[in-house]
Amino acid sequence: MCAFVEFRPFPVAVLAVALFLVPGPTGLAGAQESVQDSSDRLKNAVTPLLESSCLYCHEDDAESGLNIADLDFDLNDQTTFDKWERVFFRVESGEMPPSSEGKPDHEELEQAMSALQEQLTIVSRRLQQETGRVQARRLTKLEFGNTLRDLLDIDGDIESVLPDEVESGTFDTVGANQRISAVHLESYLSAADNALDHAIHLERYRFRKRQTDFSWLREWHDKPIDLGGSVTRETENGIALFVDTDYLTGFQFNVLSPGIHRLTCEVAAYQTDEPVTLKVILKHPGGGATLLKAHDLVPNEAETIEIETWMDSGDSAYLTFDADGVIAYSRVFAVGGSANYRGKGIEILSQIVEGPIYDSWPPASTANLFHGIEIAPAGNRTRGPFELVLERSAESHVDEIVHHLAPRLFRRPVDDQAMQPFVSLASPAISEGRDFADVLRLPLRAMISSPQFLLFDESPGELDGYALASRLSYFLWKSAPDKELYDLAEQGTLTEPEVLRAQVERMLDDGKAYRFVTDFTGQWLRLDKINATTPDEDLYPEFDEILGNSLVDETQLFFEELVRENLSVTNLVDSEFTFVNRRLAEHYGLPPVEGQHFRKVVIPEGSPRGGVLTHAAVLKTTANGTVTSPVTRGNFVLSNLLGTPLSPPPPNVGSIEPDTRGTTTIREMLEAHRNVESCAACHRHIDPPGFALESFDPIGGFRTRYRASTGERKDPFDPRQMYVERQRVDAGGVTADGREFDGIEEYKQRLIQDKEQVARNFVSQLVVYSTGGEVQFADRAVIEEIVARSREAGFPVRDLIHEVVQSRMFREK
Amino acid sequence: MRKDLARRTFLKASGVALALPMLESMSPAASLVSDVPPNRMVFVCTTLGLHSPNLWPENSGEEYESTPYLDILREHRNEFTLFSGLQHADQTGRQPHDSEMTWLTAARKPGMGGFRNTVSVDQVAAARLGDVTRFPSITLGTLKAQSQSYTEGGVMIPATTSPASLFAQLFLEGKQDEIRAQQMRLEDGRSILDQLGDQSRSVRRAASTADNHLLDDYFTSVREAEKNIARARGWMDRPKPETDAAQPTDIRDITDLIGRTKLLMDLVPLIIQSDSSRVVSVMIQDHFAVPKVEGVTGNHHNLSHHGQDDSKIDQLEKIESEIVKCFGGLLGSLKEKSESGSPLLDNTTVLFGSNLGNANSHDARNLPIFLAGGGYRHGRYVAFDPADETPLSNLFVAMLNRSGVEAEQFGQSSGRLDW
Repeated sequence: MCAFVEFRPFPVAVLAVALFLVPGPTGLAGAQESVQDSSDRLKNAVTPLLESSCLYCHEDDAESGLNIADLDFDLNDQTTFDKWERVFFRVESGEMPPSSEGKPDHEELEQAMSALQEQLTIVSRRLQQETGRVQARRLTKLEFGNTLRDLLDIDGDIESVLPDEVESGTFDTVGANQRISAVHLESYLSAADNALDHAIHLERYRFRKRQTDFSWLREWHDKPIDLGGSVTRETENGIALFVDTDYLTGFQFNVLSPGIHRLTCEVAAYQTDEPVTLKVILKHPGGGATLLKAHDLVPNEAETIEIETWMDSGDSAYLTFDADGVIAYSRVFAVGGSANYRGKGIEILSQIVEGPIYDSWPPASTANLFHGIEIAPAGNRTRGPFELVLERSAESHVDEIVHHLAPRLFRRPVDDQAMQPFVSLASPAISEGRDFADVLRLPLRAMISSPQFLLFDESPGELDGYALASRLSYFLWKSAPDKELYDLAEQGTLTEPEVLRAQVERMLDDGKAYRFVTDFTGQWLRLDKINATTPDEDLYPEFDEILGNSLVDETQLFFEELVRENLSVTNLVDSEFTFVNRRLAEHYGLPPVEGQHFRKVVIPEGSPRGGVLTHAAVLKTTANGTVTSPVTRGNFVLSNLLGTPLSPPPPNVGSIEPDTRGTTTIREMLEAHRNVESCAACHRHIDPPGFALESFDPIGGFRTRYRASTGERKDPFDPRQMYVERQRVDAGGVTADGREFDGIEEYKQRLIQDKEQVARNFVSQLVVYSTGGEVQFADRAVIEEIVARSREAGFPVRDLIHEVVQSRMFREK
Repeated sequence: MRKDLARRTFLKASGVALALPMLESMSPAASLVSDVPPNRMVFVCTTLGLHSPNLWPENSGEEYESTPYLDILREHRNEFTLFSGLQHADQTGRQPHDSEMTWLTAARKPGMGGFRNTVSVDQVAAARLGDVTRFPSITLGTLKAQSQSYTEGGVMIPATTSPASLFAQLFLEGKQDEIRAQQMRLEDGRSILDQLGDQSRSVRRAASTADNHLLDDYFTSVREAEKNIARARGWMDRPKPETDAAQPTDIRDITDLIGRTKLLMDLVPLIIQSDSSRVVSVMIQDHFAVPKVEGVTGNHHNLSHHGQDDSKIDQLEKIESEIVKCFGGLLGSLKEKSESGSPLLDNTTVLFGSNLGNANSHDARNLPIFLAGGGYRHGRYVAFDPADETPLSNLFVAMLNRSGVEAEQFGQSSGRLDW
């Protein structure tokens, strides 16, 4: 993702001149040239270069697609601005003039480029001051849900009825790409209803607790295996399960009232001296399932596991374990059933489910919502049902509740006049004599669907305290400001740099910062696409549920560590540590660790791991489940890590057709078109990082040979086919600027030399994500300053976050 | 536990029994009384392509020699035209399957920087044909809410995945208190939207010009949502059409891709015959599951990346054959059912195909496209030279025009397709 403004390293010489020449923002207002003067000056400065190096090809549209001869010099015109900006980028990156045309005169080049940079900056900056860097922006789907959960003090899903954010090549926070449609509005109204359903509980508390009774399983222990029986056995204190299946070991429970439920089970590893991985799974009525927990059971030791999870109506949970898939069945089958089976399993001693669990009843969310109204039992039972005791007119209560909620929902003070329309909405329903709880839904649903709630309220120039609090809060918490932030905005102190800094510290230390970690890495590194493909089970039979569920955790924990410990961005390229559980350590060939929880480990000498490019999550999302493509992965490195994306291929160039029969490698196929001049121009950039990553298969395992399918079955009981290892992987190459590498280790050393570009890109990504606006020309100098300031300290991640927040890009609209 | 289960099943079953009125005959909606049956359009996409060696004949024209997939459709040979060589240009997306978003819209560079989708052809048709029916259009999906139908502003219209609940919406009258609650919800929605419309007007006045794109969106959306609600409210007062079909039971097993597809295909003729909607789009997809098809052990998406491995192609062929059969089944029932003396198929244009020409390499050119029904002269294989890059949009223009939708242009069209 993230094909943002092309943003390449400044050639050092140009940069030095440029920073010297470009007037700071203060210089702009005073001495504004006339439009005519500045276009003349630009024209004079660039003409020598154009005549000597550009016009030979760019004199008409026919050959080059860009007619420079007819290009105007008034940058206030958006189209003209865009064209010159492209010219600047092309020349800056060295792409133009092409090497075949000979080097342009140094002086001509410098004169043209600094004039162009100066004028582009001035115009871009002026526009920012007039209308703001960013366009209007609304809450994303995730932000919508979080905001309501936090403000209404509720759990559970609210936002799944909203349309997904559309793929627009950048973060979903970017306002220019966001849309609001009738589909959105209708879904906002019903999501608001969902939220209120979660918040309002006046009915009787229907808490239930059920212990699973396994006596019904007796007839299943000995039932023929082809009828689904004989995979369990009665033990002294419970039952044993030998295969990974869902219909025998369910928690016996119907969810009457959606809410947080607690699952408690006493379990042990059975007939084994190795750890067995228990899986607790939640099945959803639509057919999907969630792995709630994977936990290693140590032999000879019963353990009590407790999990709290949201359960909706129709959800059901069950216990199972990591049992070698279908093989376990055939093994049990081979010995004639569970009675004779001596293989591993789990023993379940007890399992209990209880819920829904609330600290109080009616829940705090209900009391909060009916601000100023007494809630009393409707009868003499303490568990309810409850009723609202209105002491004044319904109108005045609605008025009070709207006044109470509006500033929180709208994230700034709201005057009476703006609240009135919401209050009035309740009137007809009140006169119809509808329930107060019902009446209140009208104004609340309207507020939750209103532009004041959905849109960020930012005006050109410096953001006021409230707007700053919102921007910050949606950046680091993906939700509305909490009371402390709101109060600081109210006091007018949030805009003070030190106060702002302290808030960033506080927010990053808060648990809610994990939302930033997951959402930012999810979009930036595409971790949100982790399940977009399922690995081919013939070629990658070792990919299982536990592994699949571990991948993203590594990268999230890793990134969180960079933030927490203020570590260098170079860790993204290569690091001495990572986070693993037992399964992932196994997958990576790292020294074994115990248990399926994650912990930080030091990567031993000689392991290719370290840095996000070697994380299985990234390697999986950049493959298609069956094969890898150096083009896809190379593009990922250029676009996502370095921020130097190349243009997509010409429209009608096909992609390479994968061949897993083991006769040719993808590399050999790529060689063919690297020899075509027009392809080579881009592929000498794209392919090298992709080649280096060829050492990793589609599930992120290290490989020295490619796997190929044989078309033969493993054994009669296992439907999977065998694979063989065929051609050797060649992970060597030459970077676009001519540096050789023999594999991933050396490539990472080459890449780390570009650490400044990695830092520059990281800052740019943060800017786009947090402000909801792409990097603009005038931002380049600001980003360059940030990069320069943090160079000495080695670009520490937490400092970079502070730098972004303190920058004018963040503090102005 | 089994006791619990039994009770649940009973409740569920009795719920159905209560809600399902005894309906005996199928009677067309009032608007169908006129002698000229209306035009309908149905779009069906199987998102992982169709293995082309099994699909395209060696020779084009009427005398084409059949292929394995065309064998399945033998009995309908004169009711469809098969195309090759059609495409949307510029479909290299951010993600390899992003062309799913643009199959019916023809927008370029799906998911790439600054991408914004455009209106889909079915929605263009719905804007013209949909005013008189209970639903302007119906979008269906086998797996999830993802659809290929996009509004004027490029926002996806979520697909319905539950045949049972769609059937209920189409044919079943709710209980009195449910109806009352639903009416109240609509009335509430209408007054909320009305008030929000006023609000956004004043917010818009205060905002700077650069901000207006979202507020403009908001403002138009409020109006549109109001219209939708008013329409839904209006239809609530009109009796639902009757059918002698029974309410389908949703298939929960996600691996039963074919069963799920069939249920949706079975609904299409009911939607059309009852004139509940004249525009339907169906998205067939399940990238992850191993479809419950005899002899298939790999998941559909991975099999589509067969890498020329014969055993995988063999399994892929089994899945795709079943999907082609579903298309054949749809043609069969549209032929069988008639209105005003002519088969439904004569008045229904069905497009069936894929957004991928070659899923093995994610190639979105040279798409497999079937056109059926709609009163065209069929029975041919029309092979355009892929090198000519003939826009699929040209076919869309032809389809729109044939269905009475005036459109000179759509998406990437360079004209109206003639064949």
